[in-house]
Amino acid sequence: MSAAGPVPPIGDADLAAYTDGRLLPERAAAVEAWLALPENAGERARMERWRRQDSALRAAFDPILSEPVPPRLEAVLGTTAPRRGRRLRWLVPATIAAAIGIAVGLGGGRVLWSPQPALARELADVGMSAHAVYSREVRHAVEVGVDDEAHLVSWLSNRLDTPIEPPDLSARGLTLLGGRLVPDEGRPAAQLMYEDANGQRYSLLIARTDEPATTAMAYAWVPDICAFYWVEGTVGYVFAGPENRSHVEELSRAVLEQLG
Amino acid sequence: MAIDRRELERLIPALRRYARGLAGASVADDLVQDCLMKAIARERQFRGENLAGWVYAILVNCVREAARASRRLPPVDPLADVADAGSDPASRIGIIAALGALGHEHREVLLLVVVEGFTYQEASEILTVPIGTVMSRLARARDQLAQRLDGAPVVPLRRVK
Repeated sequence: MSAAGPVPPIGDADLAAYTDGRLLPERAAAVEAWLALPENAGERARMERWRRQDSALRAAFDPILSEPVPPRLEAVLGTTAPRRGRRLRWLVPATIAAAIGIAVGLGGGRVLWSPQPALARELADVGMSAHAVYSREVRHAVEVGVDDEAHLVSWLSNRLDTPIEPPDLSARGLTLLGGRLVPDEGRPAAQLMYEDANGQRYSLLIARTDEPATTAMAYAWVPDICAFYWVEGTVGYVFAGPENRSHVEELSRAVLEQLG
Repeated sequence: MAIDRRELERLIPALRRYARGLAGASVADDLVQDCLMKAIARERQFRGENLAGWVYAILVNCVREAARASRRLPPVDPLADVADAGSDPASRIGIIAALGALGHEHREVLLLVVVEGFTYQEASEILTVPIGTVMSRLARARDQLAQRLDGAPVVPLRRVK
């Protein structure tokens, strides 16, 4: 092949596009002719290596396509339909929640074995949403840190108009980080954030309810987060943590005992 | 506009493949999950043109955020990545280990074009970098991979006068 007129200089961008088959035909021909020149043997070897490793990459990663998709990924598509763009709707089948509520409904007679009212389930949504948002904040997990616990307690108690005493979970390896206010359908609710030795976060949401009720502890779950929730009188509680049901249940009971 | 859930579902295997190569097996599915949740939460922002490109852009950001949050992602774990990868594990371990040693921005573009099959234009939009940067990073990524794979010296291209 003879060079017909000046060919624009060939650079790495051309070679990349040549390897990927993304050049226009006449430019590809020019690159080919250029690579065929004896002085460009090094470049030719380089292109061959690129091609070899490209196919090795595809061979290494393509088998992932035929792996079964983890159910939790498919679950996202089914359970997080947006509700008016504001809050995620968490799917908590009432029957399962009620059944587990009965199963875990211990607590020395203070807890009635009742199915969860819709209100308590909404509370679980608020608690898990707040947990999803704030447990990921490394530096801003709380508004008021535990180093100012007296202020934390009086502030949250005043805003919720009920005495709030942060449960001490240190015997279970959890350190209180502090707390913050979170919105609950336009009203303030309190979130207390705890952390274990591995940096896993747990949170307790405390919210006021309109009508007094007493419910069993019930289980709620969304991808990556699980929670137990219950209502006592006009105060509802949601204890949320990572997806380890038996551990979160054990901690929730410890919270319940202390609140008594 | 609303996203077709089935179309999104069909992307999951490839999203998992890309996340695995970018961030390693230990966090890949968490990142894909994060990406899918964000895609659904923001579906009104989708203009209805190229769903794959739009969702991959979200995944790229999820990975970048995770990398920033943890300073550095866990290194790609060659053994975990090839455990079920069929025959010839040796060459797979080699290429995945070499890939894991590349810089994040080189891995992003290399996998997007070579394994995921996006055009340079699409890659430029997904990664929010100019198309020229896509091509130059691609060349550098391939050279570095070659160097790590067979110790081949990287010969910088002499410009043709």
